[in-house]
Amino acid sequence: MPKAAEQYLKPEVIRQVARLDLRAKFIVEGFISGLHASPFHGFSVEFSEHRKYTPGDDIADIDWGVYAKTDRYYIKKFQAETNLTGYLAMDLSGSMGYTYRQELTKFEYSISLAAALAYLMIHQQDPVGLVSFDTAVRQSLAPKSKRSQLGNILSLLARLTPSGATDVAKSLHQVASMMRHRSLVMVFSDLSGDPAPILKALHRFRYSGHDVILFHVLDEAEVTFPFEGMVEFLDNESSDKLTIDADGVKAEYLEALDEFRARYRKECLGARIDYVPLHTGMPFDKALMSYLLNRQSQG
Amino acid sequence: MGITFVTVGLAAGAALAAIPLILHLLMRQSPNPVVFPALWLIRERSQKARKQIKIKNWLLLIARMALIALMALALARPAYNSQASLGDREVPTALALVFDTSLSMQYTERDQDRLSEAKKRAEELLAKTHEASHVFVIDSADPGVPMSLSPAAARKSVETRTLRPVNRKLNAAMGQAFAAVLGSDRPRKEVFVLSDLTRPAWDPQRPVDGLDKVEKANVPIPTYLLRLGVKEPVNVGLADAQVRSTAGIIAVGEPAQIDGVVRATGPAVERTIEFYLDGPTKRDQKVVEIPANGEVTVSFRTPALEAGLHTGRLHIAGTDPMPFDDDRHVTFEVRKPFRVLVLADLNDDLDYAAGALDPPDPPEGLPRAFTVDRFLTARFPERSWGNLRDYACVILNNVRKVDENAWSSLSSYVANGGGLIIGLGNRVDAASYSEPTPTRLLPATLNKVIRPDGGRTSFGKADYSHPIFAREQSEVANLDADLAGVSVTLYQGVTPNTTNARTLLAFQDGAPALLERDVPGPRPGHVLLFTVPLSARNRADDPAAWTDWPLPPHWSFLDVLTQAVPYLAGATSERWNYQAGEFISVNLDPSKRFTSLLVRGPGDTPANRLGAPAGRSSLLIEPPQALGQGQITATAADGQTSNYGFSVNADPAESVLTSLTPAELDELFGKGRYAVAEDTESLKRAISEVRIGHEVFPWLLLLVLALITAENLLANRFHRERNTAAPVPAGRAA
Repeated sequence: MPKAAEQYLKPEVIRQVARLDLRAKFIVEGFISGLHASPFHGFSVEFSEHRKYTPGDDIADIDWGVYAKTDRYYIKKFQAETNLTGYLAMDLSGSMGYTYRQELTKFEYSISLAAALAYLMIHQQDPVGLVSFDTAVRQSLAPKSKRSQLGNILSLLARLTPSGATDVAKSLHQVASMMRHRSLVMVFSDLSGDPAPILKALHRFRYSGHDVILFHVLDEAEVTFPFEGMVEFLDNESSDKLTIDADGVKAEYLEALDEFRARYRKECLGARIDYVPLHTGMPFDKALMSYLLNRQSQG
Repeated sequence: MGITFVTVGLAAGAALAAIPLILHLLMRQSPNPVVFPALWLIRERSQKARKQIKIKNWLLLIARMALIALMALALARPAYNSQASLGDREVPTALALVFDTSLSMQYTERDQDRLSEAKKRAEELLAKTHEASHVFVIDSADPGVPMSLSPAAARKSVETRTLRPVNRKLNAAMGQAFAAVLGSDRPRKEVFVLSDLTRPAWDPQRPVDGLDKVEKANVPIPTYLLRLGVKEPVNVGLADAQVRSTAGIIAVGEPAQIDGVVRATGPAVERTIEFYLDGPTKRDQKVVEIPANGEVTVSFRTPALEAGLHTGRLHIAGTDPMPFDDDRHVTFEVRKPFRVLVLADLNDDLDYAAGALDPPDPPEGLPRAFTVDRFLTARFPERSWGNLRDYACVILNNVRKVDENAWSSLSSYVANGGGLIIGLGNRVDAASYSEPTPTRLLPATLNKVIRPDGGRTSFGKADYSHPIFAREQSEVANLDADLAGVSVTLYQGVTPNTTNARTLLAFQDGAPALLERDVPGPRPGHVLLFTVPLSARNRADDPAAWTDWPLPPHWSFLDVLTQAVPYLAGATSERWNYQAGEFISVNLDPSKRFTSLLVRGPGDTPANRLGAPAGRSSLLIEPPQALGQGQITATAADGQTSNYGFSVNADPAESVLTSLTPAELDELFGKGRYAVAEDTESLKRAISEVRIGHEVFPWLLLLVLALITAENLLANRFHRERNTAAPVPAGRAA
């Protein structure tokens, strides 16, 4: 039986928690609790003692258990010596406010995840900031590692409302120009639109020496396409309509989505960007684990 | 060939095929509005997908419509070959029932003869025939034009059908049947033949009549042959019965021999053959063993009989499936032998002709048909020339000269029904035969003696239409061969009269060998002129040795002479035994004036009183429709009566129970244009095959099944396509 805390990794459970700070706390606690019972046990008690293997490290220090699970080399018993500045970049486009099953919207899922990450980072004394954007950057909060920063971030996140059109590429370029130090940029977006300019913007982060985790958040319905029969699809950003036989188009849609994600996956891999495809039905631990792995690699 | 439906109403169900279309058009789903941010992703792919979906949907729609239509069609039982445009089995029909009433249909099995079986089948058919149908009942015996009857009237007509000894070939009856149904305006036309399909009832060498008319009319007339015969018939029958005679004459005071041919169909069997003479009293009986599918001859001898007509009957004792051929009747005349006068200058010229007609030691059992008076011309009394009327025939052989008085007597004799045969030889004085009186009697004038090219010749073809040479076809070749073997070194050259001579036999070089002249008079007579002598010589260098014809091994000399004498006596035209179907011809005594004639028989034929034939001495009677013996009592004006008789026997071919082969049936009806049924079930099958056609129901159902499978495969395939592309596994790592 999973522990009670782990229940909070499930979106359908966490949505019942109204306060964002509690959501963040519960998600992280659930995540930590899950790590105890998992092969990633080391992370839960001494995750600060792992870092990514680099040539020159003693091979005897490689944690083979972690390798077996993650396919990556990690060195055990290593104390983090530096702090990592993190940016949470939230997409405010109208499409992020979408939910098909009336559970968590993509945006709610994203801010829950962002809150949890902020919680984690503050607790590790990592400075963390927040940027929100639609067609341009709307709000921003400079990264800090104080305890009060968590409250500020959560407060700002709770106030954000997705609406209207978006221009992810332009916004990311803006965000990139705002950042002075090498940072970890965590982008939460459904990436609607042409991938080419967005990928170009992501590449800019890398050119500037930043690490990037791209959380591609989609609604569960956007991934599973549960529609049947004749459906009139409405675009909540452009008010476009399309009436089509959902059964007939399902295969093609899923294929297109797969291709879309595959393109991001391939491009991100080439640019050493962590691409994390998510949907609102998925537990949060996957996203958190991606962060931790990235955090360790920076160590 | 067309398509019709057994249950045409259900074919309308094909219209239900429109239901999927209506559902498709009217009950189109009203789309649910759904907000979907990834619409741009759908739009990118939907163009192609929508086209494919449209095609797939239409394919499915068509498959489903076709499925409904095919199921409706299948239930309507479509069929090929139906001739009527209506789909119902109960269609007013022009129906011809052709009955084989030949005697072979008498064959009885399980107490039912073939004709009764045919009637039963006809009853069954008529019971299922629409009341507005036109029915034509035809049989092989009745050549009259068939009337159109209602089914009820047809039942009565069928009941009256009986076995008939006289039948046409069924080829002709079929012509009547086709003509009758073609003339009817009923939509369906069918011909049913109820026959044992034995070969003698048909002429398998030519197609049945009327097929050309059917083809020309381009109207399908299904023909059903109900084979009513039995598979392995067993029968013993009398195929023939004849009185042994010389030239058909039984001499008075001598016994006659009657030969019967007993034929078995089936296994070897032993049967008793009974012989009845002049009535119902059994005269004799013999047990014979007949080999399997073979025949034997059985002979009976009569005691010495008195002059006059006599009747005999052979009968197979016991019972068998076909009684009609268990009896065979003969009528024969016992009379005084023909008196023949043979005259010649030399004994050598007397012996051959006289010996041929009246042999000194006749074969045992062969009655003496001729009494010959032989005279050398020098010893023939002068007064006897005027007393020739007692002779049936006078033969002058190689007589040098006949005086004027004698020619006059001979002329008078021939003009009163006498017969004169003249044989010309080395002694003949041609001038004597060229006097005015003999010229009026002879068929030719005599020229010089001719030696044929090469020193010898022989006889050529005879005139087989003449009674002297008329015989069975099988015997013609034998006679031809014998005549061709005769050596003739000299013959009398003659010039035939252009108006009254008929050459009955010629030499190989075409010169006449035998000529005939009919001599008019109170009772017309005939003169036969041989251009060779009716005698031979043992020495080839003898001037009289013109031919070896009378010498062994030639037998045609004897044969021709024994036929010529009765012919000249007017006896060859007398006939007492007939085959069923032949006209009966009776020669009445020309010296009596008959005022009435009473014909009784044969069999159960009612007595028939006839008037005397005007201006003729022969009576012609329509072919009797019964077998057995008939009697004619002719009453003269003075009250005196004369009795005549005849026998009528069935055609022996009627006992031949060999069935027509499929190839013969094809020749008769045309391949594929008839259906043969052995029993009621196979008849039903044949009718349903031809009337309803070859049902395509099973094939249609197979098609429906295939379509269901295809529809399922199609639908499942579309479905699977959707499933296979289903949810991308969540959380695939980048």
